[in-house]
Amino acid sequence: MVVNEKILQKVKELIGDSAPPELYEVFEQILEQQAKYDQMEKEPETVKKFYQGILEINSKNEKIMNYVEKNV
Amino acid sequence: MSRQNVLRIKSITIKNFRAYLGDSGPILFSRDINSPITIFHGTNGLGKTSMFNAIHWGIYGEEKKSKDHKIKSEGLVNSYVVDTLEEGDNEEMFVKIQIENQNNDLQYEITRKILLSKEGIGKELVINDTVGGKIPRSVVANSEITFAYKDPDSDDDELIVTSNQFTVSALLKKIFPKATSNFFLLDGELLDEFLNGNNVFVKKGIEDISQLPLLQNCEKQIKSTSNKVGASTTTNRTQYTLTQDRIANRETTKKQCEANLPIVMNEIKELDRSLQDGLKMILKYDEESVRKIQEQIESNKISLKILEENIRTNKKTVQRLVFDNLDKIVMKNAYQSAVTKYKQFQAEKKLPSKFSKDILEQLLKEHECVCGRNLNEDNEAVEKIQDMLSVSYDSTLGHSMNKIVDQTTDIVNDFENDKEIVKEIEECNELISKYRIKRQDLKNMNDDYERELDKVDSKKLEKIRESNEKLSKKLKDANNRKYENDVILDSVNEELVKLNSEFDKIRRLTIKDEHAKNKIQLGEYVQKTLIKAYEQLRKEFVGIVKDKTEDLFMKTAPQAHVFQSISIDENTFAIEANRSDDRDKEISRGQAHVLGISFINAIREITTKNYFMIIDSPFNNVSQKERIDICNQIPTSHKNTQLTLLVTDAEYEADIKKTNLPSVRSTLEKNNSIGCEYNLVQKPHAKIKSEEYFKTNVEEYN
Repeated sequence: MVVNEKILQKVKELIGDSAPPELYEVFEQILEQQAKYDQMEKEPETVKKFYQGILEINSKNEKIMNYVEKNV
Repeated sequence: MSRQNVLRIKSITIKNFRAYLGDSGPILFSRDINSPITIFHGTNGLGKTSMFNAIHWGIYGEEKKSKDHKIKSEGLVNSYVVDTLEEGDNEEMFVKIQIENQNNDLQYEITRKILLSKEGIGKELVINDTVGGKIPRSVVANSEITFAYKDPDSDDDELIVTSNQFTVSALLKKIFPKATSNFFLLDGELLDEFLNGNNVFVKKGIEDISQLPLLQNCEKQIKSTSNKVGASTTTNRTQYTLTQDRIANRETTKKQCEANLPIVMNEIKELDRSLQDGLKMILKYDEESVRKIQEQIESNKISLKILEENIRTNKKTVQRLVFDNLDKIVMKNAYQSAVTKYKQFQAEKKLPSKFSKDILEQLLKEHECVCGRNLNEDNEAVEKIQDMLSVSYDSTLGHSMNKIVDQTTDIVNDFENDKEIVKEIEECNELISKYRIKRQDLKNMNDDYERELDKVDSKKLEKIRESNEKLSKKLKDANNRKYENDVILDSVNEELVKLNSEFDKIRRLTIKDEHAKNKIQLGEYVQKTLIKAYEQLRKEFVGIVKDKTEDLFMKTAPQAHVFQSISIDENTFAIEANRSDDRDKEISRGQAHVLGISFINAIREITTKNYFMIIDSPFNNVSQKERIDICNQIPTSHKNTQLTLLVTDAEYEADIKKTNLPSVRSTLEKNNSIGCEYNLVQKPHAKIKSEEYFKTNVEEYN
């Protein structure tokens, strides 16, 4: 599913050049998956699980969390 | 240009839809990126709009409403099919559309059908909602839809097929949101709709097409997930959830207030505009103005009478002067002629001699000299007498003239000395001319005033006054509502700051699990970034659309030099062309048309889906020069976009002799833009009793 390039660029710009690439990937995954959900009917449970998984996995990533802690 | 998902029509198959009788077979659309245009042309009434509506109906289950939309008695199904259906017979009408992506991979196939069956012999006509027109009561119509689509989660080329009406409807709504239909299925006549700030479809369409709601949806989901993490790990669940609910509650109010704001502001703007229009009318036609106009008419009438009198007086003066000096005037001419001749005779020594003309004539007649000599044999003498006679004629005349000169000199000299008369006549004539011009001016002025007064209708004025009173009240109400909205918004924002800080505190104190804290923190960061991205992009998108619209409009609009810029309302996305002069002149139909096209093309700069574009009557109300300008712009303005134009033959094949400009066809051909071309041809099909049936064929144009 195609996400508007301008949206991705904006996110990149907002998180900054010094952000770990993994953080940008978090946004990319969220936006791409949500675009799919928006296009096709999906069970709410599937959507819920995806978001839970995103937070679960990435909150354990030290690089991401160090950066977030400094910038939140 | 953003990375775009290109959607283009591969083919359309039509059976028994309106003018199209029978199965058309797949009508292929151009998928050549270098020649992206598909043309359908034909004379008026042959089915161009039906072709356009077939696609609209196929996708949305209804036809696109035109400006002068009326409920038609004939429905979607070809009348020959309905009229000839026998008891027990079944027939179908369908539209099948195949849509593919830029790699020629089939993405969607929509088949929308109406199945007809005749279950009786009753001929009474009744309105049928499925058919959208009148059909015999005995005919039963059922709709059916099949949708085949590619699952974005799967790499399989096989399409998933569903015939469940609700599922199909939900899927189609997501792929082709109704609000975005204005950006790819265009009715040339409705292009100026984009100038209307109240058109919610335009606003929603732009947001949808740019994918801005995606950011909001992600933010909503991440927030909900993050909140659940907090609620399940807190040691004070009651306090935690209570504060969370209060925040959610205030945020709902905030959203409502923010959504209300552009609506109420737009309402105020509209009311104010209507009020100003009413006031202008009243100011123009109020009693005082009418009285002034009437006074002016009366005053002009008096001036006219004076002018008439002046003209009459001057005419009389001229007549008198001419009459009184008529003898002098006439004599002057005779005098001048006589003087000239007399002077000439004097110079030629032709003054009267002692021989009179009568004596000489007598001499020649009798041929005997006074001395008694016979002149018969003296030819020389006769010739001399004859010469003398001719001189005498002239001399006699000269003598007479001399007399005239003597007699008239005094009179003429008197007249010559009296140049005042001539001058007076000339002056009178000049005055008469001036008065006549002035009289005509006054008559024209009064005609204009009379026409102006004819427009004044006291009852109408009264109605405007009443309407203005109501508008004033509404405006006051709207301003009050805006004020209340602002107050609520301020207080909610204030409350939210407090609640969020309270919530942070609870979270810090009641959540001990470090991993849960991290999840919440990450969620919060993602949420804030998405909100910022939404807010900034919305503004940036307006800027991009504005600049691109302005660029295209200034290049292609007729009389573009009278405009200096384009503005776009940030809230409603309504566009406006701003004139470079201060004239309060409305944008012309042709200019509005080009503005709409420029706007749509500009919006493509911010979209993720590069939808195919189909325009019905694209050149309606557009001059030949503008048509050529638009056609020449197509390779750049519609880059990578499949474009289908439904045009009349007259628009397509312009009369070059009349306009001295190339035709649309030759311009598109020159640019190598045409990929497919079809001619719509009407042919007689059958005659039943007095009813004649025709069918439209789609013929490939060679």
